[in-house]
Amino acid sequence: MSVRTLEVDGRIITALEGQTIFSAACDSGIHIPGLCHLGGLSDVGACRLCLVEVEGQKKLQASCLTRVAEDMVVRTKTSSLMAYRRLIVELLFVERNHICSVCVLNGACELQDLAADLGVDHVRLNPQYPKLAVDLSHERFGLDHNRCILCTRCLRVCDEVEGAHTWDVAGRGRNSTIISDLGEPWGESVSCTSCGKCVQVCPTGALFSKGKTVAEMHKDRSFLSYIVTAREKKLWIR
Amino acid sequence: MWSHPTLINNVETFANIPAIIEKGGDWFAAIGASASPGTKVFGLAGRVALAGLVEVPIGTSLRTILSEIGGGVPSGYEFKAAQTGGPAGGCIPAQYLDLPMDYDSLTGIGATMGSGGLIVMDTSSCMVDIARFFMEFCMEESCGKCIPCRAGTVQMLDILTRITCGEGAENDFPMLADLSGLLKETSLCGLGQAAPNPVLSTLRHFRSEYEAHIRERRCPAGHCRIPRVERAV
Repeated sequence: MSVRTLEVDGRIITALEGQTIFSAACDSGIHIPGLCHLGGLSDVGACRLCLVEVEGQKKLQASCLTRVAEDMVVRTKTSSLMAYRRLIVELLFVERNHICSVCVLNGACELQDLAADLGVDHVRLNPQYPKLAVDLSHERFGLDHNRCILCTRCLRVCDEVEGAHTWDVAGRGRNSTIISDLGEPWGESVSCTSCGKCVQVCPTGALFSKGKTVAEMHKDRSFLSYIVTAREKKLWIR
Repeated sequence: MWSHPTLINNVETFANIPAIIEKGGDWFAAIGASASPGTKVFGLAGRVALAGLVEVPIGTSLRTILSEIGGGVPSGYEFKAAQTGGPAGGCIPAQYLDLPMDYDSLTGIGATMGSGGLIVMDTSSCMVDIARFFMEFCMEESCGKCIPCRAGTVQMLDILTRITCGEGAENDFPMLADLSGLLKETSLCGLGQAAPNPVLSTLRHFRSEYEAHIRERRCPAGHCRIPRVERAV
């Protein structure tokens, strides 16, 4: 594989051909925020938080989907990009009920961390807070639609890694919701293997393990890179 | 499609092809404006005597389309603006009636050719309510995949609805500008990117109507129902 050299935020970095700007920057210690991206899963470019400026391109580019090119010049932290990110996070906080103090993932939530990083400490927009269901029908896990940001990580990990494709998105626009199978309660799903990968990849408290206190609740995403690497290298134990 | 080269295009484009094959490219290029040759089909609707589909050379003025083809605005009504390009387009106020309707001229005043929709509005139409109506359409059409469009259209509709109910505030102006910028620049597809157009366009040409709703709790067109508030003397 050949190497590409590009400039990100004034720094010259090297990347492998075919690598995305997001992962190349990450490898070089340049952090780009994102909520739908997760290493090991396919990218959808839906959260729009990882948008960057690429010199010569009229439009902002989703860094999780844009491949590096030789001599590319990328800016990831301009003042307008930071303002867009703050407003996107604010939109998420008013879209559904994300009240951290009563959330199972308080202190270990990616949305909460991102708001703290970007300095979003209050909202100016009108909170919508629709009253959505909490599905507690599964024996070990729960799904609180009120905390869901529709990043579809659960859907992708279930489809691409576990191979069950239990999750899907139903409805559209603001009425979009994650459903299991054809909308049955999670506990009655025939395709779910109860592996819990969806719970581990969920960035917020939407998917959680039952019977754990807030202090015990944390999500482990390292398993994903382990599985994906093992698959690529065919490290199967007979 | 089915392992064969496939041309995917607008129906309007396909409809032009037989005539171009028959009469040649030079004939087609001679019609319309030099920068954008050819014809355009407009869906003329709203407060106009003869509504319907009209095909005109690109660059024809709105006044010609309205008065010569559309039969003008019915008596008793006064022209206020025309919405072009459908729900994600922009409006043309009366001072631009003689502007040639071509791609560059329309873009220059914040309107678009888009789908060719042409809705004529008279002075009884409230431009804030028009913006609210189109934003509601875009919100309902949003697929929900990307956050700016899914949640941004909801918030923009919320602000516009408040303004039409007489509950607007001065900081709605910067908020509408910020949300419009976000949707335009960061939405994943054309729907979200174009959704703020009616807001930007009415803010540009009819800002005084927004100001009347917010500062004086009054709808200049007399369309919005704003409850009266008894003022202490």
